[in-house]
Amino acid sequence: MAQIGQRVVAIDADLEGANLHTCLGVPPPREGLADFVANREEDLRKLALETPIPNLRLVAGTHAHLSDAQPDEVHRVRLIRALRQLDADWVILDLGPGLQSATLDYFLVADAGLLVINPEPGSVENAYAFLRAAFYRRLRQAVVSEELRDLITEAMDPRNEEGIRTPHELRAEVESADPAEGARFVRAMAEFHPRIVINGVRNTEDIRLGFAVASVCRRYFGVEVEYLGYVNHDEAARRSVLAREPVVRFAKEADAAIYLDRIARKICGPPPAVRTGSSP
Amino acid sequence: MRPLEELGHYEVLELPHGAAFEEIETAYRTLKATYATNSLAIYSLLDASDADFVRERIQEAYRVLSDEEERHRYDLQLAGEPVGDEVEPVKAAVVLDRPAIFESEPPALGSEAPLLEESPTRLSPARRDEFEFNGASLRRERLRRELDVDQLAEITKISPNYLRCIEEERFEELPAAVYVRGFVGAYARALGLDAVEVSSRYTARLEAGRASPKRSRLLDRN
Repeated sequence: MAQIGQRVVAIDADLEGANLHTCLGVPPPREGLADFVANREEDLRKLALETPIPNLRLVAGTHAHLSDAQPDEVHRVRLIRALRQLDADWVILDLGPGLQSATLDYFLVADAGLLVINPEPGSVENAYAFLRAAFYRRLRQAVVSEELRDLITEAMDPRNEEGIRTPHELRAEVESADPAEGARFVRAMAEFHPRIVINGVRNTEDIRLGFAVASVCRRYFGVEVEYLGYVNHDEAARRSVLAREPVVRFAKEADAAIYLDRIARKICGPPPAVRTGSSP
Repeated sequence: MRPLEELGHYEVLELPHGAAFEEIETAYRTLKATYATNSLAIYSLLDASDADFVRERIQEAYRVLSDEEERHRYDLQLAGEPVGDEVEPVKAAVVLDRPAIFESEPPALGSEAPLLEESPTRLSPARRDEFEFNGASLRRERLRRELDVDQLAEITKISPNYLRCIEEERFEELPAAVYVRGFVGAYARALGLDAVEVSSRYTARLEAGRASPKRSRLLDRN
């Protein structure tokens, strides 16, 4: 995205396993997001470092205290506000694995939540678990009644005593309890639009997995998942990691670089002149 | 999207009313693969009974919509008209006016493909003269069209090994120039390029490369 002219700030929000600086060829910085989370630095903008890549700055996640890795709600809101004040076209949050509240909230607050899936059972399982947790959390935030929030929390357990097995069944329960809450619930369902990328593709079947996951999500969750694209399994990607340089710079002609470029352009959308419909 | 039990046959196959029979076939095959017992896409999300139910609904939708008479009766039911033998079935030949969710080969991921703007078929005559139709540029064009070698082999009926040799300019492993000219022409046609222009330029490289193979390989690395 930076290479096609967008001003980007990358935030390594995986404080338990920060390594984005290494991928971008930046030596381990002494300051980063951990200082903001621990209130040692009030201004997040001061923590954005230049990288070797033009248009790309980095807020590193190094040197975090373990107790700061999962900030409470007050700190999460403070960070989200600070993110919105950054002077950039795009702010990208690299989230860690797992279903922690902070991870889910950062995903949900994004304009474009992106999930990377490898074509293997463990990765698909994790992706569905994450989507399910994020989706139910979003639905829970959408209703105002504490009673219905509790119902949604209970429904998150697949073996819940109410016997609610799918989001459709949960929606029916909410609608029957309170039509106004039901309308909020349905709106939240419609507004949830995660995007997916299939990584490490080796054959046509792997490529099709993205379409299949989108279809299953539409049917099971009732949500539209956008299949943004795929990235080929490529030895150049591994070599680029060893060289501590993004593959789009390390091996521009590699398959992985070409596919990543295409995905970046899709996310950025058409150029402004096309988007506004005007021409000089 | 409503729950599966509330959906009609067209919705189950995620198709518009009036979809062509070819589209019904494609949608059915894709959904059948998506919800197959060993499918990765349903792994951990659907239990066996849920997956069985989805498969039954897909099968039933396909049974009705793939049979001309059954489909006609079903369409009449949907329109609220009486079902009788006196009405002639209408041949469905409507083609989707939006990107199909279930694409046939090759799977398309969006139609914008910004990189396509630089494809040689769209270059100005001056740029076209500058464009070098070598193995690397052919490969780039293939990737921009989201085709893998096996897919291209299926389209061109040329072995994947020869296609790779063409892209990597392993001239010594390719057959006589007259055959290579035909291969490259088919490759170019599959990508929507000018087959005559591409094959003649590539053949010229082939002949130069065979005359001086070491120099050719070294040049490729620059």
